[in-house]
Amino acid sequence: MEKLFKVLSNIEELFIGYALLGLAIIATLQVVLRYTFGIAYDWVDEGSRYMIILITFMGAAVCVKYGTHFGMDALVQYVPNRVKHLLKVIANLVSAFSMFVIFYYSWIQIWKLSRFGATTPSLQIPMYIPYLPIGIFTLVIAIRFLIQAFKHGRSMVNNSPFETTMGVH
Amino acid sequence: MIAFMVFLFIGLLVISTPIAIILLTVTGATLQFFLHIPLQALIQQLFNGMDNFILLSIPFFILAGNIMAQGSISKHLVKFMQLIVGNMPGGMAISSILACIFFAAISGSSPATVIAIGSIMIPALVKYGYDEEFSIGLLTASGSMGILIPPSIPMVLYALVMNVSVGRMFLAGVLPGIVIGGLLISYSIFKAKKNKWDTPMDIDRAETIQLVKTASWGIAMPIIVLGGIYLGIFTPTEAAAVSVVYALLVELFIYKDLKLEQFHHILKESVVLSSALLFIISCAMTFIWLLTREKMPAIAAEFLVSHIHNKYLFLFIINIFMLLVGCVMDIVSAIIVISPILMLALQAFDIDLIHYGIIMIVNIELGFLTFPFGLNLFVAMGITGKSLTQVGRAVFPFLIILFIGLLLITYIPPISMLLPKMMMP
Repeated sequence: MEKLFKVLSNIEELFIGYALLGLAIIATLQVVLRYTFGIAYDWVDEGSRYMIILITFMGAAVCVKYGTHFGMDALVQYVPNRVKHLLKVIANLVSAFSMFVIFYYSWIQIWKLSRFGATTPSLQIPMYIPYLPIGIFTLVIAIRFLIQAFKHGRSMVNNSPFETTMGVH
Repeated sequence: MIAFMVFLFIGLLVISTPIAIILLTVTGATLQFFLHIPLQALIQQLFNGMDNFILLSIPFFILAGNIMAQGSISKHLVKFMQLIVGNMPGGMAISSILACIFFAAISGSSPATVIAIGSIMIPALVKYGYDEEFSIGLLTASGSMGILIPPSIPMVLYALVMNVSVGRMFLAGVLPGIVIGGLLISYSIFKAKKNKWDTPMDIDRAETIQLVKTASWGIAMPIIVLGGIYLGIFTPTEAAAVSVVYALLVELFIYKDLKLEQFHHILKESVVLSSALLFIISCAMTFIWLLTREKMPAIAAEFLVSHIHNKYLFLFIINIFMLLVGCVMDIVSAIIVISPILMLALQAFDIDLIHYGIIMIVNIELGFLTFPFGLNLFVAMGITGKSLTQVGRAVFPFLIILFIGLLLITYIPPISMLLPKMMMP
């Protein structure tokens, strides 16, 4: 089970990475085609813009997992260990709650858009499709914040040391 | 309402809630409780804020920077610079600064520059008899020029929230980059002469030709990217895409030592950093939408203009304020949130938004180097194995030099404005 999760989480990051690489290659080809043959496709621009929404929200979920979202850790460093964990629990619960709210309203928005039946200007796909990543990944983000809150809650009870994740950058 | 927003913001900030979430929560709560606007509007703004092709340049620049930082392009660049200035007094130090400037011109990120050049040059400088503390400080500080010399990720973010041209921002950064580079070089020559750090280098001719050949692939990159933007061949986003493809092709087919596992590591690192930035910017765009809708910039402008009568004093206060903010939180997010609030005040004081943007970028540089949250300090810790305090102390003299640079750039606007006025009027 643990192994399965590891593989899944690996796939998540590599998917975004290769999607980015793919977009870069498409944009480069677009430049080459435009410069040599004067051909330009509208859908490249639109498709890329919608892909970036997917990448952002999917990637935001990855960042919660690693705790690499930028925040101000100044004060948290100067309080006792248990208080540290308590503050983290609160911060993660607030974050989870906010993301649940966003999740809820994004589906209202998606439902409304699907009823209107509008389509995007050049790809001609239903207008609600580019919104789907917001609807799906806000839930993933919310759940991951809850998991983080739970982890810190358990550490608070056990009074286990606070690990700062400086991220990978 | 303003009091509620400020309290909620600060309250969430001190318990270390991620900044992106704070921006969303404050916007959502204000819409819900004070303005009684249905929250779907928030979703729509979140979507509209993201629906922008220029945003894509951020992950591209990060990816290209990481490929070059961890691949061989940076190594060849360093050798090439040593060849040119290696025999001057303080030659090794100067070549590190030049390599940083050059690497900055191909990558848009400051930590990537520290990793790329610092991990090669810090050990090399120490080996040639330079003081270790000096070497660490020099490379950590010079690496911060990565964001001042185009292309630059924070400049793209700034251009987005302030609605100015990315191309003009990029041009405006060139001369300030050279000014700060010049200050760093002068200081290095002074230190090297004083301490007699002399490093005669012998490189034979055959090796020289070979070196120029291999390094030229890396050197061609800024020419392609920046030349392409200013000749109108491609947009900044496309330039970023081209630099990803170019860097990858050079690593794969010219230098041939990029392994798949290493490449996956690069991809993952780039994904984590770029989505954190993209998520902040998308949330910040909704927050800025709310601020503009409620005419906050006008309120701020009125307040500031009635209390501060002089534009020079205003700029000085902003600089000090940013320096303090940079000590306690991530400076990039601070600037993309604070700048739009000041937009109208800047116009009232007759300060060009591009000039102000460059001042903010130099402030970000300083923020990257200030104890205890400077991003570059952590990067330097990572590559040297020193403690945060040691790195912080090593960087301190360079912080003063950068501060002098900041004052020059703040009070002599032509340093920033000359090139954009000449080339993109």
